Amino acid sequence: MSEERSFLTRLGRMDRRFMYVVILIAVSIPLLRPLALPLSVSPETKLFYDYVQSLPSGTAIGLTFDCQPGALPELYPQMLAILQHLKVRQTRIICVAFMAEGAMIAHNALTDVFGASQSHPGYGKTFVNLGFIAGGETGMAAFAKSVKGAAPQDYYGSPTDKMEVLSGVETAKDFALIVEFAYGTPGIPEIMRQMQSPYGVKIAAAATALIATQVMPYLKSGQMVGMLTGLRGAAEYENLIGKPGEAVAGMDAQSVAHVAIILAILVGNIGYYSERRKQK
Amino acid sequence: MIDVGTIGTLLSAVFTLIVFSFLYRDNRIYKLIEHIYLGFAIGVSAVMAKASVTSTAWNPAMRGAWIWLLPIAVGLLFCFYFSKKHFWISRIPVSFLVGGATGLAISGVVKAQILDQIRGTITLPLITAPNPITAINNLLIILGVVSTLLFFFFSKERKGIMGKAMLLGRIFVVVSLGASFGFIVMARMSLLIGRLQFLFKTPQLYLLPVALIMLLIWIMWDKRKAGPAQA
Repeated sequence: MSEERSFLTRLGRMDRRFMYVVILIAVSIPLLRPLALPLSVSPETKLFYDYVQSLPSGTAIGLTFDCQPGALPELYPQMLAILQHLKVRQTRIICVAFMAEGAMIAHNALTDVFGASQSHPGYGKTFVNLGFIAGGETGMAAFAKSVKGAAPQDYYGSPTDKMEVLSGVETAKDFALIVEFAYGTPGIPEIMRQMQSPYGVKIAAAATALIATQVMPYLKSGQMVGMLTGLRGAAEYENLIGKPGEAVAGMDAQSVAHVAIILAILVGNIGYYSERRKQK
Repeated sequence: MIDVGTIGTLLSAVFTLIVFSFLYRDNRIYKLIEHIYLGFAIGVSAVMAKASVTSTAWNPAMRGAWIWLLPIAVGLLFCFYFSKKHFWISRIPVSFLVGGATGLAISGVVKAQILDQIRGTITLPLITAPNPITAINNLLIILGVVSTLLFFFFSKERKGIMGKAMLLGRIFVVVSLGASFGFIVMARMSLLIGRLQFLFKTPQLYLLPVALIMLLIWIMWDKRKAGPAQA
């Protein structure tokens, strides 16, 4: 009994670096050898997909890239999946960023999906990257009030006033949907305050898992039409559009890592309570 | 000949591995990379902000819309932040920013984050819900909102039915914190997965054995250094 207790006590006092190695192995194995674990589609992702699917071709969709490189492992697969879907639906894609790095991320995502950004024949006609608009929430409010006024030039310095993709797009009201790639501030609360509430534009969130619980109330209250949550949301969307990519590949690793963490929590608690009993 | 893209990818992989070295122990190379990253991030933000000011305000001003020079001039007052004597002038643009941003936010908060949220909660269907699961979910949301609000109601003693409702609110708060923590774990794991997916691609994959050997040498070095001290 005492041997068993000393083992559990040692578990409770284990060097944290041992846990890092366990997690590293747990994540690496499924990445190198996929397990093909089943993946269901959550209702919020289905709502997002169905809404985009219901949009007629030619409608203007705004994509706000409000994220930094730290969010890319979760948001980049979402961006690629959504852009691919919008490309297939032949909607007009208007990208803008209220975080400085977002404009470059939009450039990379457009290049990955369309093969090129500025040099693509469809640039300015079916899609555009309006670049970064400074000011955070103030910038959002300015963009919502006057799209071309807040972004007189695109990311590459070309004037936007005569761009075909922006014809009929004056204010936030003229978008059929705005997808917010949310990571921090400015993010979902700001876009709800400055675009959804005053202009009634439909908003969908593509958020990191970190802020999912802050975004969920807007979906439940009907202020939002759909939501993707982290890597899981991206994997679900990839499956829905029939193009499984890096997010689907990463979900096995995510599931195995979660099992490892649950086991670690259980073992840690058993060790803790066993030590407490011993002390009594 | 190695192209610039490959050099960039390899550099990125080396930076990632050095950042991972922090998991073993804090070290000077990690600190160096941390500072380089910070420098890059600030540099990118500065360039993008300058480009935004140029296209939004400076270019229209040069084309005759002189009104745009006014916000630029007010913004330049920030430079007095570095003057001991005229520091107070830098408070003028700060007050503009705080006043403008607060006013803008408050006007939206009332509708988007208070009224619409209340409407969304009180109109949740219970009897007319499309299926029993949705009805139960809606009931839980209503119970959660009401009991959590009661939990933060401090003018009534916590006993009787009121006490039980407050306890229920406390449970909802704890469950909400647990859900948030679960999502945080999920987000952090996604970051690790993203980095490992990047590292498992060629040519950066070839750096992994090198990193592993360096880590082992480092561990052995540490053990050797700790040896005589322990003795």
